[in-house]
Parts: sequence; structure tokens; C-alpha cells
Amino acid sequence: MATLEQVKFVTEQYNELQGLRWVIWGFVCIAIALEDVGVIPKAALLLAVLPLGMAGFIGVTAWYMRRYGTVVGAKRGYGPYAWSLLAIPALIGGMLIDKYLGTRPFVMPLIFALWFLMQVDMAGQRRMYYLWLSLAMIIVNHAVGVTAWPQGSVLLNRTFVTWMLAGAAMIAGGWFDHLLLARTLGGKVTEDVRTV
Amino acid sequence: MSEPFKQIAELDRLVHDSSRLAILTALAACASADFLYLSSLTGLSKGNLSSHLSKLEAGGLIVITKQFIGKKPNTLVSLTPEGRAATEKHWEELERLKQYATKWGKGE
Repeated sequence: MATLEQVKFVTEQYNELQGLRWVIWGFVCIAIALEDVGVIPKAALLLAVLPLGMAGFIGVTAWYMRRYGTVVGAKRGYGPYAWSLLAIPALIGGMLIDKYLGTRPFVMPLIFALWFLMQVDMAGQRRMYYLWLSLAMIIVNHAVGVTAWPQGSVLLNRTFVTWMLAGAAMIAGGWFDHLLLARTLGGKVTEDVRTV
Repeated sequence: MSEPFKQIAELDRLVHDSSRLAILTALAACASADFLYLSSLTGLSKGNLSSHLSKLEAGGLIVITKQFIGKKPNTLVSLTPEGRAATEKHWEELERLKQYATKWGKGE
């Protein structure tokens, strides 16, 4: 059985820890990056990747319910909800600002990094991997930006780099979340014993 | 009997059992959770979990609501106000005992 602190934490964060949903969105981000450099046609992104992503998200949510059950009204404050609602307009705003500033996205990677940082439970030192992922994202994004790539390299396309990094970080973070949840909830069923 | 031992003896045994404390701690962190979640969390078999839930329900600490989601039966469990208070009080007592034990270890 998990420790009582883990019990409390996982119950409070049950919805956030359903990480395979983020793994799916990570692949969608990578598809957006590939569309940006012309590897995937825009029509395929809109008509196949995004609907598949939505279907996958719904399917994975249903799988978590069937596999681990349901928690209603987890007590974790309104912060995650508020940030989830703000994330999409923040990203669109970031993209517009970056477009206005020029070819080098600056705001969007910061928004992604901030979103990852919001997932960290600093006090309990859980989900610290999001701290490392956000730092890695900023450092790699900067490193790719200051490197002199040959003409025509896709790495010169900063929007591509940002979406690829965000997608990779989402896949890694989501997978670690899933492992945390699976380790806590995947306890072996004990034999029936008389209870006192 | 010295104070820490008196406190240990006075702990509510209905709450203090490790499986029941895990169930109550989980329920204190949310509005309600279903049977499958509690079973996944505690690793208890259906029979064992049912037995613990019956004891907690008999003690007035939880409410069990049986419902159907589509055609599937679903058992939803939530804390009563008394259950929430008992869980919080129990955690406070455990915290106090921990402080006693720490002082005792230092020979104070």
C-alpha cells in the first residue's frame, strides 16, 4: 500500500496525474511542428491528427476510469483549473507576440516552460521532473537559437523547435505522471483476511 | 500511565486501522471516490474493502451511495461531516504523538 502522504497527494491530483492524456497532446504538438516545416500537410493535421488526438484523449480518460476508478471534487484549489483555462489564450497570445517581434519565438517557449513549472509540487517535492523539463526546454531552446545552423536547416525555424520541444516535454512529463499514478494505484490486491 | 501512552490508548481504533486510515485520508482529500478507486489505492480485495467500508459506515464516518452509470453499477463513497472531523482529529493526535516521541528520543 502507498504511504498516507502519497494517498493524499494522488487523490488530490488524480486528474492531473492521468499522464497518458498529455502524452497524446505531446504527439499532437510534434505533428503541429512537422506541419510547420511541411512534413505533414495542413489538411492532414486538421482532419486526421487533431480529431485523433481528441478521440485519444477521451479514450484514455475512459480507460483511467475503468482501470483505476473515479474521484469527484479533488481538493486542490482552483489554480490548475484557472491555469488550464488561461493556457490556450496565453499560447495564442504568445504566438501573436512572437509573430509581431519577428522570427525568433521568445514568449511561447516561456509560456510552455511556465505551464510545466505550474505542475511541480514544490512543498512535497513531487513531480519535480517538470522543473527539470521546463529548465531543459529553456536551455535547449536557447542553445538551438544561438547555434549557427546551415541554410535551410529546419532548426532555423524557431516555431518548429518550440513545438517539438514542448511536445517532447509533454510526452516525458505525461509518462512520468502516469508512472507515479500507476505505482501508487497499482498495489497488489491482498488476500481476503478478517478485519478487526 | 504516562501522557503519550495514554494518548495511544485513547486513539480511535475504528479510524486508526491502517487500511481504514488510508480510506479516510483519501476521502478527506476529495468530495467522493468510487469503490474501484479505493480498491486500487489500498490494494484491498473487494471483500476486505467492503468489510472496512461497512465498519466505517456503521460508525457514521462515511456514506455509501449506490448508483448506475449507464448499465454499470457504481458505488460512491464520501465522508460524513463527523467522518471528516474524526479524520482531522486523528491526524492531529498522531502529529502530537510524533512530537512526544521526538522529545522522548532526545531525552527531554
